[in-house]
Amino acid sequence: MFIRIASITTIFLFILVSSSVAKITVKSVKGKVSFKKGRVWKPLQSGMSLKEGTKISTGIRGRAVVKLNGHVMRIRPLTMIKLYENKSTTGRSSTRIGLRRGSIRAKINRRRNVRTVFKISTPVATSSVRGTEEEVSYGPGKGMQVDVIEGRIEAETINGTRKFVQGRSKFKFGTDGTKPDSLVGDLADGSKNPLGDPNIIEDEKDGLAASGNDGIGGVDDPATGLPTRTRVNVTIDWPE
Amino acid sequence: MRIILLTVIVVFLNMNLYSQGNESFNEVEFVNKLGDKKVATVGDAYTFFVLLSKKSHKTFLKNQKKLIDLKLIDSSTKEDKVLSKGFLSSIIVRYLKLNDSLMYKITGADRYAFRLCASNGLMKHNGSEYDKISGSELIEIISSMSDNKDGGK
Repeated sequence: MFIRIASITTIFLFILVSSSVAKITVKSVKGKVSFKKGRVWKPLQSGMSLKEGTKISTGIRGRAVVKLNGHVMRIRPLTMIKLYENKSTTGRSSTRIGLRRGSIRAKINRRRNVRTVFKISTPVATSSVRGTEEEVSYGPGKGMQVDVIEGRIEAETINGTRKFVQGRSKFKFGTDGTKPDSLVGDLADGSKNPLGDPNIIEDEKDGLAASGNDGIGGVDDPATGLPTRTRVNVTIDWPE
Repeated sequence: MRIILLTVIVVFLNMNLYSQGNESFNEVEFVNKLGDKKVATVGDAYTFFVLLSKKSHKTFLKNQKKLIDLKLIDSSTKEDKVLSKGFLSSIIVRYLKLNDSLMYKITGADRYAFRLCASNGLMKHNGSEYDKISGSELIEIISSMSDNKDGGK
C-alpha cells in the first residue's frame, strides 16, 4: 500500500515538474541550419523537438522557424542563438533567448491571465517584449538593434539604462557606446525629436512644439494610457 | 566471393556516412569557426563569395579561379593573407555592382571601394581601408551585404 502511494506520488511529481518545461518545435527549415546540444553540430530538420540549452546556427541562406510556448521565432541567415529558457506554468510563461550574432524576428502570443516574459539578450543589451512583434539583431560593428514592429519592448543595457520602445520605433545600442542611441537620432535637429510614435502628423508636431517639454510628457498613448515619454535605464545581460 | 561482396557493402556504407552530413556541416561549421577568429583571412572571404554565388566550396585555388571567372577579383593572392577592409570592399563593390563613386570608377582603388561600402551602410565610416577585420565582423558585413542584395528578404 505504502509503495503504491509512493509510486503514484513520484509519478505525479515527475509529471508536474516536466510540464513546466514547455515544448520547443521546429516548424520549418530552409537551407543549411544546424543545432547543437552538447558538443556536436547536427542538421536541424523540420518537426524536431528541441530542449533548453540548445544552440541553433544558420548558414548563408539558412532560415528556420521555431515555435516556443506558442510564440513564433524566425531565425534569419548567419545567425546563432541559444535557447536558454522555455517554461510554461499556469499563469506564467517565460522564454529567454541568447542572440550571439545575426537577427531573429519574434512574434509573441500574449494570452489573457498569463504573465508572459520573453527576453532576447545580446552581449550588449537585453530586450524584454511587452507587446507583440519585434526584430532583434546583433553584430560586433553595429551593436544591438531592436525594431519594434508591433507593441512595445523594454530594452536594458549594461550601464543600467532602460528604454521603452514602441510604435514602429528602433532601439540601438552600439558595442562602444555608454548610452543607447536616441530613438530619433537620425533627425538633424534634436530639439524637434518627437517622443512616442514617430509617425505623427504635422498638426500634432506643432502642438508638441508649442506646448514645450511639459506637453510631451503629457501626451498619453490611447492604447495603454501610459505617457509616451521615453525613459532611459540601462542594464546589460549576456547569459553566458 | 563473399569477402568481395562484404568489402563492397562496407565501402558503400562508409561512403554514404561520409557524404550524409558533410555538405551541411561544412557551411555552418565554417561560419561558426569564423565567428571565433580574431582576424579573418582572404581565404575566408573567398569562401563566402563562392557560397553566395551559389557555387560549391572547394579548395582555395579553385575558389580563387571561380571568383576570377566571375570578375569579382582580378588576380591571385595567398590564402592566409590578412583580410583588410579595402580588399573586402573591392570585392563587395563588384558583387553588388555599386556604381555611386566617380573616384572608384576612375581609380579602382581599395580606398574608394571602402568609402563606397561605408556610404552604403555596409561598413562604418570610422576606420581605413587598411583595417583588419575579425571573423564576426566579416560575418556581419556579409549578412548586411546579402540583405542589400536581396532587399532585406
